[in-house]
Amino acid sequence: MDSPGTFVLAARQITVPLTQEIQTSIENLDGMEAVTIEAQFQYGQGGAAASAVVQTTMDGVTWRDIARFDFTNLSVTKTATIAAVLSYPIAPYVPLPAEGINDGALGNQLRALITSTGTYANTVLSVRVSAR
Amino acid sequence: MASPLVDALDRGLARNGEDVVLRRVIGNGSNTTNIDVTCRALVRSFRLDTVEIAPALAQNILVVILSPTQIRRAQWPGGTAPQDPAKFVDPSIPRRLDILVIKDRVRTIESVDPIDVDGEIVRFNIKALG
Repeated sequence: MDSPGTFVLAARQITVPLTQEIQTSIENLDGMEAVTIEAQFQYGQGGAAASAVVQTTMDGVTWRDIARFDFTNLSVTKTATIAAVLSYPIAPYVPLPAEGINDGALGNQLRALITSTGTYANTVLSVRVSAR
Repeated sequence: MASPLVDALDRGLARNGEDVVLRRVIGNGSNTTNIDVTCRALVRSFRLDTVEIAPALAQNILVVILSPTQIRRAQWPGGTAPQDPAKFVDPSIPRRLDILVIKDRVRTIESVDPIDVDGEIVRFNIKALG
């Protein structure tokens, strides 16, 4: 691929509620065959729920969910790997309403959407990827 | 394509520079995360000068010339939250209180002068303390 390596899709404090806050995208990932995603939630106080949705695009306009990580009031690190090297049967695209992955499809960009409810304090969410 | 000025800087830093880690720390208190990128830089003390922060306690002043190449390649600091367009600040420009790890010692960036030629940043002149 063009630019294999590790990238940060999001790293931010979570305070006031966020509604699908779009983080700027990581670009120039042409030829990406797999990506391992690590989402780390460092919980402080308050809040109710938070989620990070990782998306990819094939046209730079329409973004599709490939992984979703959900968090509540507990510090936790979660990982997932998405691969696009095998053949997959035809399946309709469905956005991820809860934690899970849509495997098998990777475009040339990645980004994260952050959502939270309740007001957190001293809480940090980071999403890092290793693209290869 | 990188500017010839950046190419020339990178050649010079490859010969005479050293690797440093540029770090942005997100969060505070007990919950923080670091966003690191290893960059090529030329590090010099400023006339062997120091800043006294308490009696018998001083910190060095370092002048650092940093290439933008590794920052761009790593797309550092990665995805960031949307900004008010009227107050937009390029997050990839190192800023005050970012960290430089130089020879395993943590230094705090005091000021940054991004050198812009024809709309492209070709180097960062940085003053760091620590």
